[in-house]
Amino acid sequence: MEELYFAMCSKIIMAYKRLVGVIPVKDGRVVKSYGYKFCRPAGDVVSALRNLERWNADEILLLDISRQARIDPAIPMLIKKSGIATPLTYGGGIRCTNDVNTLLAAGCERFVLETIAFNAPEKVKELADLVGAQALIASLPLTGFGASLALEQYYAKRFGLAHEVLDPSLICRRMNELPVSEVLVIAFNREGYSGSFNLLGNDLCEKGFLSDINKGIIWFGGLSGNIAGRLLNDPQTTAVAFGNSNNEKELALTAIRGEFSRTGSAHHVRRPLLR
Amino acid sequence: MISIQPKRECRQCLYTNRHPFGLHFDETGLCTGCITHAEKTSLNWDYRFRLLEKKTARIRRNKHSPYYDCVLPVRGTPEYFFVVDVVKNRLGMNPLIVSYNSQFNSGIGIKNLDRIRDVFDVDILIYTSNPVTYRKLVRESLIRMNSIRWPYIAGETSFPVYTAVERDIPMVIWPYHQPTEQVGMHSYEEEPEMSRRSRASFDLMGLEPEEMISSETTINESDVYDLRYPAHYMLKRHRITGIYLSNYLPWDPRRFSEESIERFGALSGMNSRTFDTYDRIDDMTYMTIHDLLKYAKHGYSRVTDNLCREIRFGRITKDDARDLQSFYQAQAAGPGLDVFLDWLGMTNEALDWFFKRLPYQCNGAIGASELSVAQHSFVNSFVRNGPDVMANDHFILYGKGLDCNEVINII
Amino acid sequence: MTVIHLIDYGTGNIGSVVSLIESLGLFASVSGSPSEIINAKVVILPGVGAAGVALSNLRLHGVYDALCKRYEEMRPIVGICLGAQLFGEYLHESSCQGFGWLKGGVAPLSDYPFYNNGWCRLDYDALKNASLARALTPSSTFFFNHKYVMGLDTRKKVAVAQRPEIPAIYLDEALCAIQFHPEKSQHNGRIILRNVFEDHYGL
Repeated sequence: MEELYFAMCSKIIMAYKRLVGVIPVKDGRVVKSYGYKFCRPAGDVVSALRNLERWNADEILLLDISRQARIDPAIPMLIKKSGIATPLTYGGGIRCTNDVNTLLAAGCERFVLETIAFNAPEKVKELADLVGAQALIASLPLTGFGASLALEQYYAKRFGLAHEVLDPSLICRRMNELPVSEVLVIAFNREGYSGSFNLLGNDLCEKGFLSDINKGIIWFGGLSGNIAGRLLNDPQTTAVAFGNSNNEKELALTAIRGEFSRTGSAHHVRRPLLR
Repeated sequence: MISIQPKRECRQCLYTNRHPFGLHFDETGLCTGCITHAEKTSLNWDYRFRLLEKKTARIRRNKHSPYYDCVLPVRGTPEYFFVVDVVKNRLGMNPLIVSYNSQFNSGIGIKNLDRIRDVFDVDILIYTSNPVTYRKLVRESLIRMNSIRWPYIAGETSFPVYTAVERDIPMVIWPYHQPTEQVGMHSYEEEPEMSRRSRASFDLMGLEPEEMISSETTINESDVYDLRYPAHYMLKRHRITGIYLSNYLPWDPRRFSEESIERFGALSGMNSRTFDTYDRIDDMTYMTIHDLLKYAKHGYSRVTDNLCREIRFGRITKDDARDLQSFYQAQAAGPGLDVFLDWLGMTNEALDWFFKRLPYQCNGAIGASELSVAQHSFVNSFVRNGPDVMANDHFILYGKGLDCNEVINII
Repeated sequence: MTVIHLIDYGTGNIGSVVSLIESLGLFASVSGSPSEIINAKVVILPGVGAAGVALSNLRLHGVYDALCKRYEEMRPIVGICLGAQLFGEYLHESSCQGFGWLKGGVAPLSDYPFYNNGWCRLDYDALKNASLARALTPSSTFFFNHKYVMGLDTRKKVAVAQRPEIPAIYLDEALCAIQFHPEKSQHNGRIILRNVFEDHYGL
C-alpha cells in the first residue's frame, strides 16, 4: 500500500489531499448557510475552530459571508482566542494588505480572495508580494455544469462585473494569470445541501473550462462522502471542503474519511489518530 | 464580541435576534425557530418513528437482559415520564436512567424522580457532587458567566456520556436539542446528534470545564474532573452515539407532560414567574435566581420560552402572549432566593451588585387584574396536581442525609 | 524557566508559534532587539512571504548581524518555513543572497502543481538518525505550504518529505531549519518541536 502511495505521489501531487472543515460566519457568529440565501444559527466561532482541530481537520476555512466589504474586527480576536494549531484559511472581505496583516497576526496563513480577484487583480499581486502566492486562493462561485459552467450571476451582478468577465475562457485566463496557488470552486446554489453537488454532472466528468485552469482545485458546496471521494481521484483536486454537516454529527469529518475507502480514494488523504 | 445588528423580532413568536443562541429570519420575517417548528406538522412522523426504531435496532437487546441498551438522562419533571415510556415501552429498550443532582431539588422533583423508578421499574444512577466543589463552581460561574447553573449543566451533559463510556453502553438518548427547538439550528430531517461542540457552544455558553481552572480562583483540576467530556477516541472505540427523540417525534413538552400526569400519575405544581406548571419544576433555583439573571443578561426570561412554544403550537395569540410576558417577567423571585443566598454564603447586597452591572433592568408590568378572561383561562388550563415548587422553604439536599435538626430530635 | 526568543521582523505569523511554545510549557519572548537575540538561549526565526522583503527587514533592525554573530558562536537558531529558507545561499525568489549557512540555492518547484500545500510524511529513518523521532511514527504528517524549496546540503543531517527533492528539516549543531510549519501541524508539530528543543538542543 505504501509503495503504491509513493508511486502515485511522485507522478501527481506531493502532499496528501486535504479534507477541509468550513466555518461560515455571519456578523461574528457561526451559521449554517444554505445556498448563501438562508441561514440557521450554529454557535460561536471559538468552539467551532477548536472542534475542527479536535477532529484533526487538515485545514479550517473560515468564510465570512456577511458581505461587508471589510474584515469584521471580532474575527481576528476570536481566532487568537481559540489558539488552534491547525492550518487556517480565511475568506470574506479582504481588500488590502492591512487586512492580510491583521489576519496573519491573528494566526491565519492562507487567504481566499473573491471580489478583488475579479475587480482588482493588481491588489492580488500586492498581496502575493506580501505573503507569497502559496498563501492565496481565488474563489469561484459557479453554477451550471460542463459546457454551461459559469460564474454565479448573483455574484457577478452584485459586484458590477462587466459582462465579458462572465465568459468562461476569460475566467480561465484570469485564474491562470493571478498569483494564487489554488482555486476554491463553490457550487453556489448547492451549498448547504449535502449530497447535492452537481457542477460536474452526475459522473463528475464534465469539467468544462475548469480543466484549462493550471491551479489545484478545492471543491465546496453540497458534497457528500461519496462525491468527495470521487472528486479526490481527479488529479486536479487538492482538497474537498465540508461545511454544514460538521454541525450535525459528532466526528463528522472522521466519518467522511471512512467513506473514502468505498470510492478507492482513502490513500489520497491522511488518517491522523484521534486523541 | 458579536457585531451588533438592529433588534428584530419574529413576526410570529416573541423571540428576537438578541437570543443568546442567535436567530435568523427568512424573507417573510419568520424566525428559524418557527420555520423548524412548522416541520412538526409538515413531516411524516410515522416514517420518522420507524427511522428511530431502525436506528435503535442495532443495539436493542432482550428486555430481560441485565445489560443496558442505552443511557437515559432524566429530571424530575412530568415530561420525562413520557421519555422513559417511549424508550422502554415503545422502543423496547433497557435503559439505565441517570440523573445529575442539581442539589437544589424541589420536593415535587424528588417525588417525580422516584415515581419514574417505581412506575417503569428502571434502575437510576444519581451523581451528587461534593458540596465544597459545587459551591466553588457555582460562585465562579456566577462571577464569570453571570449564571448559577453552569456546574449543573456541565455535569448533566457529561455524566450520561461518561457513564456510557465506563459501562460500554452504546447510546445516550436525549429528549430534545434545545437550540433546534428554540432557534431552529437544525431541520429535523438533518437528524442532529449529540456532540461535544454543541455542549460547549450552547449548554456551557462557550466555557468548557478545562477553562474554569485558574490559580486566581482556587478552581483546580480535581474540581472539574467529573465535568469533563470523554475524549473522542473513547467515544469512537465504544461506538457511542447520542440521539435526540425530538428528531423522530413531534416534540410538545406540554402535551407529553399532561399525558404523563394522566397515565403515570406524574406531579405538577405552581412555579414562580411563569404559568407553566410542568417545565423546570424540579429545580428550586431555576425560576428564582436563574430566571432573574437570565432576564438581566438577555432581556427575556423563561416565561418567554414557554410562551413562544405555546404560540407556535397555536394555543395562544401573540398579543395575549405579550401581556402574559409582561405580567410574569416583573414578578418577584419568591422565598427560594433567600435560601439559595444563604447556601452560597452571599448577601442580598452582593447579589444586587451583580444585577446592577447587567444590561437589562425590569421596567413596569401589567397587574393581574389587567389580564383578560382568555388569558386567565389559558393560565388555568395548565394542570396542577401537586404542591407548589416553593412549598418547602429549605432545599432538600438529596442524598446528603438527615437535616441536623432532625438528627437532634431523633437522639 | 526556559525562554525561547522569537524574532519579530515584520513578516510572520508570531501568534501561532507563541501558542505552540507555551503549550510545551516554555516561555516565549518576542523581540527584535539585537542584544537579546545574541544572548538568548534559543532563537526562532519564523517567516511568511517574500524572501527579499524579509531579508531587508532583518538588515534594517540589525537582526541580520546579530544572527550572523550567533551562528559564529554556534548557538541554537531555529528557522521555520521562510525563516529556514533564508539560511540558504542564493534565493531565486528575490534574486538575493541568504545567510549562506546551508549549501544550495532556494529555487521554485519545477513541476505541476508548483506549490506544495498540504500534509506530507517525512523520511522516518532520517528523523531517527537525527534523534528527532521520539513519539513519532513513519505515518506522522506535517503541514507544508511553500513554493520554493531549500537546496540539498548533504553535509548536514537532513530529513526529506515524501518526494526526495524537498528537504524538510536540516540539523547541525546550531541550526535547525524546518521547511514545514510545526505551529500548524497539530499534535505532531508540537512533538517535533519538543524533540528539537529537548533531544537535539538538550534544553
